Amino acid sequence: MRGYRGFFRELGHTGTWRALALQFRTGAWHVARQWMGRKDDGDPVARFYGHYAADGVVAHDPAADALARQAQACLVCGLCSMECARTGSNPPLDPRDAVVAASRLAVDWRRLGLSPAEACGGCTACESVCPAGIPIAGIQAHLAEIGTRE
Amino acid sequence: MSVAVIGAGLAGRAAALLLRASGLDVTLIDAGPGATALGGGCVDTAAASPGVSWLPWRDPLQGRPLLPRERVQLVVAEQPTHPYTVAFGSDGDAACQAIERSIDALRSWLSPSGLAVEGSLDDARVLANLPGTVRVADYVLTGPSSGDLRGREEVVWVDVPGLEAWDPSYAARTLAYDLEALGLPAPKVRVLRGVWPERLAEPRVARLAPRLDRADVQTTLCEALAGQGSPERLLLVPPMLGVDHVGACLSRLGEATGGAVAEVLGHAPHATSGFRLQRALEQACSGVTVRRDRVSGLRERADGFELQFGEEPALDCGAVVLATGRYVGGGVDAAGVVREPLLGLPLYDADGRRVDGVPAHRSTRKGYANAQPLYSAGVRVDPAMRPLTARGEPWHGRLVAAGDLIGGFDPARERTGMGVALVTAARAVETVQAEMGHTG
Amino acid sequence: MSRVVRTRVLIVGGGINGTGIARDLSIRGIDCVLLEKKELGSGTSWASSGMIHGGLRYLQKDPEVTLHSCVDSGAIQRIAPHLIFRIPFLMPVFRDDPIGPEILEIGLEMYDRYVPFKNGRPHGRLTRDQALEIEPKLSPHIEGAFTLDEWGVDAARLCAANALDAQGRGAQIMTHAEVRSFLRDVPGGRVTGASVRDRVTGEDFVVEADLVMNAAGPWAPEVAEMAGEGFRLRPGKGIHLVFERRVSQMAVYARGVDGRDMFVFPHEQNAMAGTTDDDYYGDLDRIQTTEDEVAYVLEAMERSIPSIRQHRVLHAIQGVRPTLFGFGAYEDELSRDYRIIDHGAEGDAPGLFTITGGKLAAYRLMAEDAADLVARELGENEPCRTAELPLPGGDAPLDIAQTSRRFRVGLPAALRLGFRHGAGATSLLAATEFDPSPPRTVCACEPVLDTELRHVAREEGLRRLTDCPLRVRLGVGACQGAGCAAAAAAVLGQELGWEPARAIREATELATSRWHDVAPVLDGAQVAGMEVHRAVLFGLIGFSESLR
Repeated sequence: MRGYRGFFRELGHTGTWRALALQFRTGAWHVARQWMGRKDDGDPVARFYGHYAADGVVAHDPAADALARQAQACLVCGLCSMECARTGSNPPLDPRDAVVAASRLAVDWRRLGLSPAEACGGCTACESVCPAGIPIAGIQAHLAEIGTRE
Repeated sequence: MSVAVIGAGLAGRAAALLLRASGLDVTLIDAGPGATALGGGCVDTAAASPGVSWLPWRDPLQGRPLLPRERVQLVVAEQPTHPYTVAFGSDGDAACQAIERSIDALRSWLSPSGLAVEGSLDDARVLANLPGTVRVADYVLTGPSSGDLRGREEVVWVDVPGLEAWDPSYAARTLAYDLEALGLPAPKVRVLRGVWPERLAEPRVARLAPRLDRADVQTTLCEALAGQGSPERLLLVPPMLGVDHVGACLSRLGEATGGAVAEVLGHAPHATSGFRLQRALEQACSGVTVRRDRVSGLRERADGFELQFGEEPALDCGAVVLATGRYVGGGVDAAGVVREPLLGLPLYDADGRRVDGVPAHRSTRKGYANAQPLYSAGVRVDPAMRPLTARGEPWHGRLVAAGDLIGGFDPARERTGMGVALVTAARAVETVQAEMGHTG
Repeated sequence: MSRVVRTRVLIVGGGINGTGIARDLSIRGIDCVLLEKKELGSGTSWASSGMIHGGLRYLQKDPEVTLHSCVDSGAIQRIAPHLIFRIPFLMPVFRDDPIGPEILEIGLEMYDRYVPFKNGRPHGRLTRDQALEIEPKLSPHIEGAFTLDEWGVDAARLCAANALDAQGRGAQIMTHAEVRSFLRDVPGGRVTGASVRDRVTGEDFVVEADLVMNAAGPWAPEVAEMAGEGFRLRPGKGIHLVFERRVSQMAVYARGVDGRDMFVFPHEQNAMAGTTDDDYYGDLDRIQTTEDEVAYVLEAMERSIPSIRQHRVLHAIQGVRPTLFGFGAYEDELSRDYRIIDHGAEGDAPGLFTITGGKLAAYRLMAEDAADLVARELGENEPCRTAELPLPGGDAPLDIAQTSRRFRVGLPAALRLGFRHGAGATSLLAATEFDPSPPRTVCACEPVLDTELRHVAREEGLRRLTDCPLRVRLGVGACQGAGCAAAAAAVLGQELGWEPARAIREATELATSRWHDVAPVLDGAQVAGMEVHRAVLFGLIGFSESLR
């Protein structure tokens, strides 16, 4: 019965007869279903991703998470851009933009089916000058990969 | 036994170079660039920026701008916690001599890279910032250093279409206004349009500057600006005239235009000058043993110290120079509570109050421009630059500090940061030499 | 003799209620003037969570409210599809929660009946392991979790979009215009307008109107007081913490130590966590986030996401809800209902009406209600059409990739413009389509283009740099304006004809206002961020009063 704790408290918050009726109807159906041993159709995790894949939600990626955790220390100092250009690279997404916007782009690009044309060369020169020690090339690679992922 | 210098910014590299010059065995621990690489081109030693500090901008009696030397005198007279005062007491002349000696040393380190440090304590240069505001500086690096606005008849902003943060027409107006506000004679300011070569179109200073290291790109720019200068006219461009060869680029441009060309002062994220300084210092340290790693712990041993590097092998050394900087450099950590991460040294603000052990936000005050204890906080040192414990005793005879890690001053508001880095590094090295029985 | 502006309805307050009513009236062809003493949405709207939710909370009180909320959420999705984004929610269940999972699920099963109206998905039930698979940041102590979804919006942009639409239909939107006093036809008689001061230019002028609608949110009692009318609110202060980047792809529910529901949710590049609800008696114009509020929010978040303190907080947002007065109840239990007061019928100020209370999600319905009343008073009988006509930019989706190519802007910039301006991004960018050089980035954090800044100054009536964090989200990213304050001041200086001294002052004030929001939450990497901020801005702009 522990799952039903708070029943009286919630009942006490009922405002209208209509709400009361709805609660009892839904509650009775719920109890009956639980008691019969309910069977939800399909794997709830798959169902979740099915619901929200179109909104850019994908399976959790621990590597992306580690990148984000390091990227949040960005000082927007621009040294990565300068070193990137100094070594002669010109990636489709400037390293500074990639670091700053990664967490949003990752979701929105998936949602809109976009991605930068290609990854940067991955020379990691930018990382050697980053005062915050951010794995910038890894972030570039992660963002580029989004476009190619199913 | 070798000496370990932790931190590879201006203070750390100055200490490493001085130690090596005295014949000591040095290992520089480099955890990546810090505040030095984010500078705008001024080598601030003497609080010489108008309207920034608690110092008066003008001599109240004579009405003329104070000279850098006079401002150093005021610093040591009125700010007892400032590292200059800690090192030299109220002897402003000694502080000025130390600054001048340090600048001479810096000049010798940077000259192989073609980067000069121009200026003196007896003259205040007036320079333009990227948005057209005016900055007064004592020492300046090649690039912006030729951009002194005093005595110019005409100042011309070169339009670079599509460049981020570069707004020459409004900058020109701002410059004219700001010079007038400072009471300085205002030259004629105008914008040069339509000459920028299409080949040099770039959205960002950071992407443009490295391209100007190449001779053929320099030629393109020289051709575009040919004949646009004159002896009385100063051409101002964004901080983009190369990274490693700014000197060469400037002299070619000077010849081609027939007049003075200078960069404006840039700031992060357009801090080309800081990037150049960092690279030139790295080049100067090419003979120094550099370990690219971050120190995770520092242990005291019977005959010195052991530096730990996480999983990596430890390093034994006889003396340590802490030049880890403040928050950007990682010398002071502010996650949860403010603390010095390596030794847990006590931290003090400019008023001598402890700020370590409490959350960072408690050391802030209302009003952005007001003195913020959080940003004048650092370790307290004795005149030999040895960090002090809470009881006021040196933590260890052969442990010294240099640069921003030392508290009691606010580099952003007071504009003495580079001078402190150089002077404290020199003093710290003297201490190490004496302690190691070494007299250079 | 001061300038006189003549109109039929004067709306006081440019939050979501004021702008919503202005749009509704304009669509009905009723001429109106909106006065906002600061920037559109700068009060409660900006400080809200920006949720167009379906009213799960209201199910027990009255399912009718939930039905209306869901239907209206669906309507807002239709009229502003570009501004709205879906936020999937994870609702973790703990053993020590006061409400058991079965009771929660019964609530969600009730809610499932209504979510199709707002294009929502039915709820899901996850075991502990399934929930941790979807979001490993969740606490290992959870028993399980439920999933549901709501819709988010940039509330300040929603205000601006409503105001823009109204303006396009003939309404006059005046920001930084403060009501100084009301005009009466005879002393103590009908309210016939207001005398107003422009807080930027200092100009005093008069607005004459048949009817005045006070939609000043928490300031509403102060406004009514000017007409000698008294009524009480129970203002409730709420804060949000803004994180540097998204904490999770989903929003996650959390429970405060007092049992209150809170959540951390994605918003633009950031994540926001909140909110608090505390009685507020202080100065409405100087609301400051305090240490205990920050600690309270973080404590709650930590229960659901134990690693929350490792995420960098950029700044806080604080505001006050105009909650209806109620005695003897806790803040959280107060009704989120709204009221329209006719000060002619209930007091001695005929011609003055006040709308107060309510919530962001119901703004369109509230505006409809208020506009119906106004129309009746004025003898008009045009019906409300705000649920059918799209908001500016909401008429067609924007092709991001094509916009990026055609107008020579980066994909991130195009994406952002698509979110904020929808189809309007095309005409916005067309202004510089044939310029020799592509639009310049002003603020790298979002990124904001100079073209957008010029557009909002020219077409949307932006008046101050300090309004930019709301209007274009400039200076609210990782650098907090260090990289863009001076550049943006120059762009606006050109557009608005500022003297350089004014541009420098605006940049100074932007820095000061950012510090106000940042200082109370300074911690970790943000301390280094503000160290750079100070080095840059003290270098670029002297902060000495004696000099400037």
